[in-house]
Amino acid sequence: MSRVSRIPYPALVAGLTLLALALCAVSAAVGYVPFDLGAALSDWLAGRPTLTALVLAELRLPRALLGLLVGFSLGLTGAAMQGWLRNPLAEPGLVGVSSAAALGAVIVFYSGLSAALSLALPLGGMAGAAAAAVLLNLMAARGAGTTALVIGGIAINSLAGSLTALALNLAPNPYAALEIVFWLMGSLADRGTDQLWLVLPPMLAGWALCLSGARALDALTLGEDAARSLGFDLTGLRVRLIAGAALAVGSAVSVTGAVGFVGLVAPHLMRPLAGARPGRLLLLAGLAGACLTLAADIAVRLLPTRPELKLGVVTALIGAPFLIVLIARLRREEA
Amino acid sequence: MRPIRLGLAAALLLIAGGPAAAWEAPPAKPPSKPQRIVSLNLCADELLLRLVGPERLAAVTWLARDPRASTVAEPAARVPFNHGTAEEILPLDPDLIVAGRYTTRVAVGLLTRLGAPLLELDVPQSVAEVADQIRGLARAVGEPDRGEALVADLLSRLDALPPAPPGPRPTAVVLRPNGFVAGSGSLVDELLSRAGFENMADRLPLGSQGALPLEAIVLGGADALIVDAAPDAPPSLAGALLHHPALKALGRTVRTVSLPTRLWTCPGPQIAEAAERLAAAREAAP
Amino acid sequence: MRIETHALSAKAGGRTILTDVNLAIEPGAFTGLIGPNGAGKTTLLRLLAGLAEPAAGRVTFDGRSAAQVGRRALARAIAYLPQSGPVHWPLRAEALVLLGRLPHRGALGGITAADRAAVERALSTADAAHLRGRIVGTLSGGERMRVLLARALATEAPVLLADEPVAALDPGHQLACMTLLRDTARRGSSVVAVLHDLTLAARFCDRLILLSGDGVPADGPPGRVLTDAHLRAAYGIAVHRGAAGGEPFLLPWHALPSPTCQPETP
Repeated sequence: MSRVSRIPYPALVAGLTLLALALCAVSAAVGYVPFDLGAALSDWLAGRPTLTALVLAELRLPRALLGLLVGFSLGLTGAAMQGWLRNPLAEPGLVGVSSAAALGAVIVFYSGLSAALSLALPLGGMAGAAAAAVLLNLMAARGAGTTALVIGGIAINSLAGSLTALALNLAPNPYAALEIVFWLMGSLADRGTDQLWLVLPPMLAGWALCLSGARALDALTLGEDAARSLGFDLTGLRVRLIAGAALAVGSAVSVTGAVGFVGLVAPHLMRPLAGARPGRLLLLAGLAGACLTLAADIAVRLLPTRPELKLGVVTALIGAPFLIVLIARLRREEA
Repeated sequence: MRPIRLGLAAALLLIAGGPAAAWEAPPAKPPSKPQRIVSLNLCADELLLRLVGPERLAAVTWLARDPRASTVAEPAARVPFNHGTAEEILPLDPDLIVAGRYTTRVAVGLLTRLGAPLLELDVPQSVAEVADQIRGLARAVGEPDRGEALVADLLSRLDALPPAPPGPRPTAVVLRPNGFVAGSGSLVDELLSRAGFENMADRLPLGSQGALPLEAIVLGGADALIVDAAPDAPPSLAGALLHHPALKALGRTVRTVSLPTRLWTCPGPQIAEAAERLAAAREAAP
Repeated sequence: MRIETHALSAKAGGRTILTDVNLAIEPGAFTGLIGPNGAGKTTLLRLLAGLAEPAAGRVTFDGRSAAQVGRRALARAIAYLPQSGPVHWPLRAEALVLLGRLPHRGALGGITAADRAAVERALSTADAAHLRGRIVGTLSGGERMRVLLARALATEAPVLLADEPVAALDPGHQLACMTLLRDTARRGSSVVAVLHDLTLAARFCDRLILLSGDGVPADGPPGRVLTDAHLRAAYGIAVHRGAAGGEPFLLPWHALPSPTCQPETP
């Protein structure tokens, strides 16, 4: 561990960025129907409307890029929430921010609001995510113990999950009730450029807000009083992080559903490489989250299941063992 | 006597939690001209509302009133509706219950055990089977002549479709919500062929079974994409797939035909209009 | 920097714990804040650090309010070491000490040579340079306190406020820590520490402020504060006194069955 942590930070960032972009390219290359990617790319760049160019530009690339954006959002937000609450279990999925975002998006989508105004969809997701983050803030205002965090997360998750099921059952379209799996497990299948452009601006704003808290999160390592004595406005930090999480996670979930565990696993993997510094962890966890999500999305298409597995199934298969190990370790530390 | 017996049996069934052999009644024989018909299935609604007057229908499904899904919404509005549960059906004291082979199975199971006068409709896979089904139901409700008239009208409209020009036919893929396509051997397949198209679902890169990823449908390279259109339907992800930007982009190079859901959800006389619209779209091709 | 309190009152949990406190913390002195549990020592220290709002009265920093000084400038002027010094992540000691430089770093500015030099000075002053590569969680109590002190020293603030810095240390580390704080004051800083050990307070501090219940019954050089009468009234104890090497010491000897004895409130 001591050797890997000496990799210089810029080299880590550059390496992870390259890996994320490479996985993006692999994701665009991996599909259900093989075709000549080079020809498709040159057709697309030349504006020739061939079917393969269309598949590349309208199906493969939006899917890969959304995987990158959503994964970065989840990883970054996970790291920011963990730094804020000083608990490695604080993660958008576990604490209920993702499922509340799904609830918000479901209400907006099935009520037809998003058909009238497409921006309403990410706004619904953001409103749900913000409500959960505020609730979490009330429950865990003074540094969250693991028990309080997990129980609070269970409460928010089950409430949001059952309200989502209720909203889907009340939705007038007969297909709606069958679509709960998408919202609870998440998927990047057949996502399009319209969704990509819709969520890109709020995600970028959310990232900026979360990243702007890097120094304050470093200071919070020493507790709230010490952080304030080092000149940081913790109320402002809270507002920025809640807004940042709501923007990033809310818009991500509104187009791909709630993909779990990325925000838990990515910061956990990167923490030793960041020397455990919460500020440095942000960018690294975001990039690792993008890599994880892209890899999981490549896996669901390579696995021979049809229709393809939901993305959250794969991330949970990776993430749940992580969670068990983490809880065991935290219980030892808190004992 | 009958309503009392049926009601009593139902009550005992609910109390006992399960049927004892002694309580099972022999299937009741419907009268030759039933007067209190109940339908548990939208496709049965479509046929019944054409075959008999509303005064002979005790209830149709709530779906029949929805003009997006049904071609008989107007007459359906004059008939009480049900949601396909046995609880709603029994008090109506029906003398004929028409259900679909694959829908409302719980209610149908209960009604079968109670010996209710039940008729189950299959899902026809060809025009010939549609005609048989219309005739069969018409006999069951004592209106064989009206049945024959409906069949004759359907067949004559299908026969009157413009013939496809000689040479290779344009290929088409039918895209339904969630990425389902209509494969060979289906009724839609026959309608496509009567309208002068060649259904290429079976030649798609991933075949025609199950929900397909959009790229398999796009890369199939059909000349025409026939989309199950329900523009004013309440939103669903299944339906949103049909408005994917990739399909909009595809629409710039291949013909896209929107066919209203109500015309081909059920195998009734309305499929003639579906075939006519398909043929017209083929004719209009450059 | 000179910190003054003017008619300061504070409440904790709805109970008034400080009433009409008027104090001035001068540069160059090592001040010990003593008093029984629940007397408001931590509260007063947080007020002096600008971390809490008084119920009444005010705290000034060179004559100005905390808002007038500004959060960042105040952070450069006052280093605060909280009680038991939590460290929430497995940071390396050097990275932890570097956190003390946060008030000096611009919004986007990286770590400067001046920051590095200050960290080195702090590590060597606190005798923690050899611990720089260690993960904080693996340090012993004494090593950990040296690193945390180095973090506070790295700010190179004119004021150092430390809440019970020697509470969890063995006697050797207690002496080392008190020496370090006194030396820091000798170099011109104001050092204020909350202390429970009256002997250490008597030996190392230039000035003691005794808090008890509602006010400040004694404030001045240790000899004038640690009288039998003050200790009996504030702590409800009798002490045993002596001298070693010309320096006086005192040992709490027995508790007095006095109604003034404060109940234990953590």
